Amino acid sequence: MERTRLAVSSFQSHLESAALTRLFDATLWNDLEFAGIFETVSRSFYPLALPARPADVNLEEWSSPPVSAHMVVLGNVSRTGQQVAVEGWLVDPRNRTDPVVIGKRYVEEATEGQVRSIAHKFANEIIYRLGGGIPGVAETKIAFVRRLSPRVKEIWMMDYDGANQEQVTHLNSLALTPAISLEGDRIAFTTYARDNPDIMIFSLLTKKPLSFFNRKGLNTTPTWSPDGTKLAFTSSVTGDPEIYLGDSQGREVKRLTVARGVDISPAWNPKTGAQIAFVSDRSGRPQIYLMDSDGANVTQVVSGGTQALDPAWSPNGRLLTFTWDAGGAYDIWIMDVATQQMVQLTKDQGRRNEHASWSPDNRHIVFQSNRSGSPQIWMMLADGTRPRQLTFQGENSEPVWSSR
Amino acid sequence: MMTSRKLRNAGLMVVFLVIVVSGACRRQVPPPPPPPPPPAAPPPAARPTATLTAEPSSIQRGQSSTLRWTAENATEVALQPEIGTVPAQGTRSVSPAESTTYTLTARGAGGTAEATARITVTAPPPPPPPPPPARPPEVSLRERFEREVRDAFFDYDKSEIRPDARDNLNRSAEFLRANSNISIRIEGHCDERGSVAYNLGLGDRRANATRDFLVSLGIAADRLAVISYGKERPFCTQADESCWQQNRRGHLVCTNC
Repeated sequence: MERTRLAVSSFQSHLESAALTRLFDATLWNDLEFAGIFETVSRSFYPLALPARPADVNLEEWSSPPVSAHMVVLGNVSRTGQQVAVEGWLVDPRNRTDPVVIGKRYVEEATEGQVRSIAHKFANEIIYRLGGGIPGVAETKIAFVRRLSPRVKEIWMMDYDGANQEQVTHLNSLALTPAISLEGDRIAFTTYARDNPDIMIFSLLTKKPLSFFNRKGLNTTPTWSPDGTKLAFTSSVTGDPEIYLGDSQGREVKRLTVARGVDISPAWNPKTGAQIAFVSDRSGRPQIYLMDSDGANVTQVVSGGTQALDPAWSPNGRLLTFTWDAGGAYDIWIMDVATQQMVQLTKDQGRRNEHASWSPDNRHIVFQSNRSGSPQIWMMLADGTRPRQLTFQGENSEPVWSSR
Repeated sequence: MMTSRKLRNAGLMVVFLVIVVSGACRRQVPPPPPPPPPPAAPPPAARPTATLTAEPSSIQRGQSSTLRWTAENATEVALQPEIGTVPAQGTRSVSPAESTTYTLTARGAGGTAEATARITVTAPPPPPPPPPPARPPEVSLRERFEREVRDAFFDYDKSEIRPDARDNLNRSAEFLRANSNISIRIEGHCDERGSVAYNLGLGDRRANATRDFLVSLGIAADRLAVISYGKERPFCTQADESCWQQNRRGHLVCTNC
């Protein structure tokens, strides 16, 4: 399929809003560039006179070579006192009679955060219109684990493009294996705050813990049911780590796995809710298995290599990513669950590429990689192209993409 | 108990002194330099000075006192008895067995100066009763635990007790049987390979396998707590097998030593 050739003109502005406009332009460009559905036309080809509004667009010039744009994004930024106003348009230069496809006006407080947010909103409008009606992910967030000291890891969140990194937990302990509910209102994770690996549920609205009933031994890898009312998680209450199902408070539990060895990392098919992928070393090595959400019909779907780990469903419930060392290093692989065909997404980029998580639009994958020399969060398109580093400081791991 | 510790300290001090003194005796005194050619007009040399104090000036046998001295305009400074050549300024802890007068001699081109300080040594108090047969628990139990108790090491991705782990745990169980008041926490650890999550599970299996083996040797289960740290608390951080082996273990920690 031919990708839409998208020209994204720098927005016009006056001197008093120049810095905010640069931030707006960079944010919008990144959003459209990494949407994965456009061919963004290099700015060096654009006409010198930048349009501030559709009437300024020389349709002929933008639609013919070298620009050859199928669509043009343009607009202007102005500032009055503490407010910033952004007008943005999407114009079809080949439609001489009615070129304006989208026209939007945003007025917000003149802060960097608000300007970013306006750029994300406008990008999502364009992506939704030109990307087959699939909402863009420019306003979504990514949760991850950041190491603060040798014995302290905390849960953090950031915008999907790496901006606005913010610490969520302050437990001064190990926080691991985060999982965000599909509604995006709660995050579940493992904490050592009470000197035992326990599950904690945290409201992202009130930033406070909610009640969860932990059992003796290991309590870890919580994952949400699609409707947000249940959790699957691992408990070693019997002396062996097994996967259980419980309500969102960890009660009314039902045991799902019955096998000697580690059963861990459940991932609930977010589309159907009917299947759970998980990791088990019942064969002697950790590998990926599927079972019905009541524990029936256990089948091994990945075998070979030494370790297959971190199963994660695409939001459409058809694809499964996982970490596998079959290629010599830990890399991200993708499997079509219906055909069980597998494709390697990362290759020859550091020794460890792991813990993939899908964006809500099925088009992006966030993962952890040490290719830059330390564990950091990266994202890429779901075909493995366009890797982009999101975190740069310290050690960051276990990213999960929020649907909101 | 306090007195026995004091005695031991005093013994240590004697050993220390013997080492210091014998070292001083072995030290070779360098041959004197050849006499310089007589200067045309020698300047008048300043007269050396010497001061010496002992603090405290009275001790019980076995205790120590600190000598503190200063010499000026001196090329050679000596402290006697038994100490010998010393720097122009200094302090030294001494523990003479008998009352002793120490003399600081400062020699220089301008002559010789002397200073003395006397340390009076009194008889020690009567010897303490013999120490109890067992060493005081708050001092040595943890040391003995660290010395006697061995961890269980595991193969990659495995939680089965290997023959060497069996030997180590037999030895650990012996200690736990002999010290029935000790409680321990068994920490399951893993090497860096594999996911955070899988290693939490694997560490839990290793901790439980270690506990089960100790229970099979007769150690009461209620003395043995378990916790998995997965790969979060490594003992070493190199990416090689010798380091990975260090990190694959059931680690026994005394919780009440």
